Amino acid sequence: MIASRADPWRTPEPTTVKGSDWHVNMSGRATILDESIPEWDAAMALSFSRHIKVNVAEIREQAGLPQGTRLRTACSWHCETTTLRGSGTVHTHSRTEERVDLPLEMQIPAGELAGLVTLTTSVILGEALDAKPLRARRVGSILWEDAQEVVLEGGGGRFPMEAMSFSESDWQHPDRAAWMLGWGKDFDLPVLGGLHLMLNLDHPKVKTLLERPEDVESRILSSTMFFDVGRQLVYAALRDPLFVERTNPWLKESVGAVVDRLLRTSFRGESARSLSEKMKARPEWFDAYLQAQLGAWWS
Amino acid sequence: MRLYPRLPPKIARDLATTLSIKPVEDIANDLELENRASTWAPTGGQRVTMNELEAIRSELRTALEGFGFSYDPAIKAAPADRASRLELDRKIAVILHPRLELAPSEAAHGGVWAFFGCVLAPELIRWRFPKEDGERGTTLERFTGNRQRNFYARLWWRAHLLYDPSAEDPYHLLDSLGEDEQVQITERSNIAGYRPLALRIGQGLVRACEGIRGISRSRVQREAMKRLRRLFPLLRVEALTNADLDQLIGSIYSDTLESLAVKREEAPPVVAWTDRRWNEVALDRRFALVEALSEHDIQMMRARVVEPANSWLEFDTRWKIHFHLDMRISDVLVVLDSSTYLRMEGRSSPALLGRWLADSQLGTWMREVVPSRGQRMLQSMRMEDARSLASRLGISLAQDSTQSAAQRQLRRCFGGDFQAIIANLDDEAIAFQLRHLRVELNDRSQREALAFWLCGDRAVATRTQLEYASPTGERPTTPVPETLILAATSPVPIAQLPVSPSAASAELQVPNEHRELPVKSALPSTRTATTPIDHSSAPLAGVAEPVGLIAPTLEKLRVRTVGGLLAISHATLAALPGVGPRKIAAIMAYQALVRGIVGDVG
Repeated sequence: MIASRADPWRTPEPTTVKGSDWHVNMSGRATILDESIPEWDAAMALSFSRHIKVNVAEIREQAGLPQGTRLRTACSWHCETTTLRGSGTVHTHSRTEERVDLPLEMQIPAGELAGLVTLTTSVILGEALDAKPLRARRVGSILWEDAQEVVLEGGGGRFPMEAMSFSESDWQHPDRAAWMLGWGKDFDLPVLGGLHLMLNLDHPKVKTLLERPEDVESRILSSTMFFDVGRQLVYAALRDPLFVERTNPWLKESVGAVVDRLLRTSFRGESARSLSEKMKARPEWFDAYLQAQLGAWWS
Repeated sequence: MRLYPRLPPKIARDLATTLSIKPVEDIANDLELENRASTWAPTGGQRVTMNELEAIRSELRTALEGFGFSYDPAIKAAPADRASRLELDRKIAVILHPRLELAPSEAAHGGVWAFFGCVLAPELIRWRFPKEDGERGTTLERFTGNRQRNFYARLWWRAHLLYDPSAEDPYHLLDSLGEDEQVQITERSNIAGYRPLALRIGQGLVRACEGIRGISRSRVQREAMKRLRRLFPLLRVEALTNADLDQLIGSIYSDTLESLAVKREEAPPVVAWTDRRWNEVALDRRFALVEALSEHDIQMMRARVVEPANSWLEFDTRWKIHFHLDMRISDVLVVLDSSTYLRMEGRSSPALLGRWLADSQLGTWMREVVPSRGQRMLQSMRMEDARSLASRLGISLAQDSTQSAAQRQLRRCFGGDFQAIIANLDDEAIAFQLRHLRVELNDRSQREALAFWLCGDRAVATRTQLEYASPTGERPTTPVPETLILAATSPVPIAQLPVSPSAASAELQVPNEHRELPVKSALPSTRTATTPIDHSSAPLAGVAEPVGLIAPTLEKLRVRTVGGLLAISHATLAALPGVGPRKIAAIMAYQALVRGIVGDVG
């Protein structure tokens, strides 16, 4: 069912307001906002901006408001998953303002969003008026509005990862290590419970990676890290007879299922048993073979 | 931002099915901090450690122990009364919200709360809701449900949505709003999600309902929320300024109250002076008492009540005593000779005399406000306090008595004397009531503060008499202690009465000859109250009016102390409607005396 909005007062034509695309600002770069932000995570504060042209005089006239009525143009956000709302720029048009070109901005603090966020731009009544038929009278009455929904996180899975200071954490990790993959070599556990990649914030290169992931150095580090994780998982799997001999499918989203998928996509047509034998026979060659098949440092 | 383990729905459901009927002590034996099936958010914060989870569990458990929680098989049931349950929930909410460092993005995930409900601390839920689902046990949703039903999620979200960062106690709305009122706000996710609006709804309700009678606050809230929900889709509240929001919420509540035709309590000081009948009675009674004073009483007053009075004549002392009664009846009563009580025609004890004097001034307040506040006090009393009170006084309260039945029984037993109930509550119960009713201490003892809240600032049971009946002191021999004295009080001592600088000038001094007037001729007797007095001969007729202290009518004057009367001239008084010659004479004489006192002290 399509819900249509019926305001109990006169509203202006949609063309009285023209807005540019929303832009999302991340890591210091503004890009046009698409339907989703795949790189979003909950710890990320978001900043949105757009420009809007408001024909204030026409809105007043078409909405049946007295000349010089105060209006406001504002942007706001609403997240259905967390149920939270917030506002960004609120511009009050002066009584004499007729046409205006406005920048709108909105900062959403980290942790407030999940799932999907709706960005709304509205022109509202900025002062209370006497009651008249078909005329908005309360402050805040919506005269014009548009909304854009943005999916956060995208549909793809993510590797469970946490940045922490190794020297200050309770985990007793080596202080000077750059990262560590935490897992109990249990292939039956869910990935999001069984794997935990910890990045050491004390390490300057890791800090750079988190702050400027686009840097060349950061990209090399990132490749190295993910090769290391893949290598640890593949070696552990091929050394485990229960994994190598297993014929039953793994539980969906388990560590076993993920490693099995990694082996199938990286070593097409080769069974786990055959890979295990190669690894035992020529370990140094297998290491290089793994690099090649996992595509390390190529992208 | 911290991340917590998440329990998958199916696993949570299976666990909850078992937990919902398991005895608390059995759950406690099987407690673990991990579940193999649990997952974490892949990114977005720091994972909580096992030590931290253990600490949280222990903190929650300790908090509930204060409400009777125990692992003992002979376990004490969770409190059944509404007020204690609300207090318990508040306690948990106030621990969870700051302690977990949880971001809403994480708190929005049901798996986190299922982990809390099914793994971290399920025994507390089982204890809190022992037989919610009939005899079968706790409903599954308390362990696994959404943010409205899961015990921990519900409390965290309430604390989060009603958190007031600008207040000294940011969680004050959890205290001042009842369960239903909190639900009305926090479970309307559209409205509650905008925190400035949610806060104003809560604060607005408390303000709007201050002093209303004859209707529950929850009803006002429900009606107001209907109005707000009708408006909400039409307004963009996020674009409103704080002033706009205040205006919006204020108008919604005032429209709601108007539509419900709610009556308000009158403010007590105004009532005391506009209710002429009671005022006249008060004056008569004070005259009667002053007339009955023995020589011994007057000597005692000189020494203890009206200082410095050694060199003053009896006439002055009597007058000062008379007006001092307006301020501290209890001070006067404690020095009276026992023969005075006997002369007071049947008012043969300090209690009876005190009541007799104070009732006259406090009539309206005592008649209307005290019962309504007393009822609120009973409603907010925990069931365990009601039981303890009943048992101490030998009242039999049925084991399965509901809270409202207990309230009715206590009220009947005390004959509506709520002061007496205060006197008999133990210290912990008093402290609970003060918190729940949001009564401020203002340098008073807890018991006095509650008595002040109940009776207003013009009446209070004296400290010693209240302590007499407290559990730490001697127990009262009857359910309604006769020793309670209500004492009229005034916030302004004589030395600080409002007199303009010109009042100290020579022309305002009381001439010496007036001090020597025979007492009988200046002091009207109650028996000759109808005898007109020639006020044209009053000592200070036509005295100059200190600038700025003149009020055209008594109604507008609304004086809280007789000190305000200092400013009124004879001519002004005579022009006031309804002010008789006796009152004028009394006021004029008082003016003269107080100016004399102030002049001497100055």
